[in-house]
Parts: sequence; structure tokens; C-alpha cells
Amino acid sequence: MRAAAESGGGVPDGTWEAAVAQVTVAGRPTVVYDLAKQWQTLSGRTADSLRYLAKLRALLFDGRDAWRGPAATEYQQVLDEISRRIEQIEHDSQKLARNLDRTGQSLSTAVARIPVPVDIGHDFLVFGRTHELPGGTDLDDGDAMHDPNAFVSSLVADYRADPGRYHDFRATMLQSEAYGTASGGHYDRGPADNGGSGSADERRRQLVDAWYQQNAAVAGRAFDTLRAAYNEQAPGLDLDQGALDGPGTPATSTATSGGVGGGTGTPIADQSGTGGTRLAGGGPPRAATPPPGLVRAGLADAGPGLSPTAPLTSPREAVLAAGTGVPDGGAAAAAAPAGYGGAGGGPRRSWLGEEDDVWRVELGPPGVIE
Amino acid sequence: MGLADRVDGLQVSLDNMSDAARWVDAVRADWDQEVLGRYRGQVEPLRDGQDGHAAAQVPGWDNPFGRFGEADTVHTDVRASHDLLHDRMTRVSQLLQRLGEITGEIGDNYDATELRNAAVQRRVAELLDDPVFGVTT
Repeated sequence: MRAAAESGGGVPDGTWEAAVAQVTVAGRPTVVYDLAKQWQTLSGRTADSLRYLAKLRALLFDGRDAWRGPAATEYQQVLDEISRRIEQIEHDSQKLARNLDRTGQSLSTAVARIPVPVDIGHDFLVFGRTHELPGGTDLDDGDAMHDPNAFVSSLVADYRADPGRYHDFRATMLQSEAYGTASGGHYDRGPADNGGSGSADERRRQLVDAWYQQNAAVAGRAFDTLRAAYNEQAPGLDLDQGALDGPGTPATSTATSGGVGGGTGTPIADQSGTGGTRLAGGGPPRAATPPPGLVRAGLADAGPGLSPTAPLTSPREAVLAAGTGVPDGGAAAAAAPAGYGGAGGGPRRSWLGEEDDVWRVELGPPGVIE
Repeated sequence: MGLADRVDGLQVSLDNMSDAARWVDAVRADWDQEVLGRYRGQVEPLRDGQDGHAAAQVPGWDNPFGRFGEADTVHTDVRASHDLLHDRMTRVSQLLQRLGEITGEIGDNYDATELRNAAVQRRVAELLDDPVFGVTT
């Protein structure tokens, strides 16, 4: 087992930072899905060999002029043995494919639930929002906000450029110069200066702490769920252990079947313990309070060929929402776009498009951000 | 080329074991291309995270399941299964190759036996035609 210091670039095990670095940045659900798909395809390629060996057998040993005698019997036994081995390969390949698909679903679900912190600012020159990863990569350059693969590329590049910025999200975000400058003015109108205890800075730290702890809890649960799934699935992925039939192995080759769920207002859905996320309006509302500053839902059921989308969370959003006078614990409700994800019944299957810009969802009263 | 094309025109029978050997060779060639070849070309690289993903470009990040202990365990198990299946697929290829060789030898022996039988038949016929033998009319 790899030591935490090696696996997560020095990030303490079990933390939010570890979940992002070790799962979201390094995990590749699409590769696991591709692997499952390739094994499924490969298993189908064995059929021709079996069929033509059976034809050979019929040509030599059936009919009036059939080959008979001890040598013929030996030859048939060899043919049968080769066919049996091919069938076993076909069988085990199919099971490996199914179990890999389950593993891909688990990883995909984790990626879609582990929040990735971004610093959301405002560019007054272009009159639009800016989104920066912890290392400073601007997500608005290129397609990162619209294409999950581009987002993952940006995330990996951001992490590699400065892994130290992924060691402590709370400190990283608090130290952000842009964050402090842009948000400072709003705290003066916040609850800390309206009768609350402590200074605006203290209040800001409290809000960021709350933001951090709630998102860390979500990430921790997602990471723990993934670890448990891996522990359960690992034996089923090892042919040598003879346990390739995993419990409840689904016969699907995609991640679109139950449990994974679709887009949602928040990735906190697994607080319910039932797994899976729901669309807003697609079912009864959850009692769990979404993390403050969570601005975009993750999506796990992208399936083969598409990266699952990681949810984004911004401390600035949490602080600004609280700065409007929303009481403690209510900041999340103001910050989280509960309606995002579509009002329809089906899960979202696409990344953000221009026509469904998440920013059309108001994150707070007018004037807070603008 | 599909397997149907590879065996097209072969006349397999006990009298034509050479074609039976070619048939087995065709099955092996198809196996090597469609199964072993697909494994080596498309499955094995993915096993080690060699793909278009951004993380695949990072040295040492060859585990697509993540970078933590349980992910390493899963990766180790998956690699072991890959190795095992690869060994089995290679073994089938070797068995088919050996079967093709043996089938060819059977065909050669059959043809040689047929030739010997024909020679014996000719010698018996000559003997029967010999005036010394005194059987001819």
C-alpha cells in the first residue's frame, strides 16, 4: 500500500484535500469504463474461434466418412480442451468487464460527489464571473466550464503546477488576494457588523470554516464510500482469487443504471445514506443542508467516454451569501442553487451549455455580487 | 480478414488433413489478431492508464483507479487478472499452433501411408501379372 505522503503529494489521508488530489485529480473513471468495454468486446471476439473449431470437429468426425479410432478420439479430446479453455476466457472476460464497470461507477460517483473548491470572482472589465482553481488556473479560459474533459485537464494541470495549493483549501482560499479584495467590502454589511459577535474578519473566518467543514464532510463521506466499494470489489477483480462474480453484479456496460443518479443541486445527497443524487424537482427534497458556497452540481452518470463532472464550491459565495444577513446555517440555502439541474424528471447528461448557464440562478439578492 | 475468409475454399476431410491443418492455422491466426492482438493493442495500455486523460501524462500516475491504498489494491488485482487472462489467451494460441502442426503431420502421414498402400497395391498387381507366378490366364 502506498504511503499517504507518496499517494497524495503529502496531503494528509482522509481529508478533503486528499479526496480531491487522490480521487478527483488522479482517478480516471472513463478509463475504467473503457477497460470494461474493451474486455466486453474482447469476450465477443472469442465466438468465431469456438464456432470454427466446432465446424472442424463436425467435418472430421461426423458423417459416413468420419475419422474413427484411438487417434481420432485423442484428436477430439484436444479440440474439446481448447474449446473449453476459450469458453473459460470468454466467461471470465465478461465477468471482469462487469466488475470493472461497477468499479467505474463507484469511482464516477465519488468524483461527482467530491467538491472542488474554486474562487469565484468578478471581472469588471468583461462584466462576468471568474472561476479559479486553487492553483490559480482560470477555468474561464477555454472550455473548462463547459467540457468535463477540459475541466479535468485544467484541474490536473493546476494541481501539478502547484500541489502545495492543494494541501489546505481553507488556508489557500483565505490567502487569496483577489478573494480578500473583492469580498471585503461586502462583509461590512454582513451579520458580523450588524450585531453579531466578533469582527468582520473573524466572521469571515467562521464562515469559511463552516464552508470548509461541510464540504470536507461531503468529500470525506464520498471518499469513504469509494474506499468501501473498492474493498468490496477488489476480490471480484482478481481472477486468482476465484471470486470474479461480484455480489449484485449488474449486467450493464454503462453507468446509467441506478444508484449513481443524475445532476443535482448539491453533492451532499449521500448524507441520506441511500446513495445516489437527485434532480431538483425529481423527488422529495432532502433535509440535509447543502454546503455553503456550493455552486454547481456534479454528475456521475456520464457513462463511458465522458468524464463525470465534479461539483464546484466557492468560499466566497458562502461568505457573500452570509453577508446579506442570512443567519448562520442559512448561508448554504442562499448559496446553493437548488433549482439547478433542470426542472424535468430525467438526469442531466450534458455539461453546461450556453443555454443553461448556471449563473442564471441567483445565488443571492441583487447587489450582493454585482 | 475474417475467419470465414481465412477458411474459404478449404476442403477438410480425412483424405485432406492438410486443409484441416490450414483450417486450424486460420483459427489461430484469427485468435492472434482478434483476441491477443486486441488485448495487446487496446486493453493492456488502458490497464496502466495509458490513455488520453490529462493525468495519464503525469509520470508515475499509471493507476486509473486513483492514488490511494485501496485504489492500489484494486489496480494490483486488475493487473493480476489481466496477466492471468493474457497467459490463458497466449496458451490457447500455443495450443492451436501445436494442433495445427500435429494435424499437418497427420495429413503427411496419411498421404505417405496412402502412397505406400498404392505402391504395395502396384507390386501385388505386378506379382499377379508375373508369368512365373503362373496365375495369369
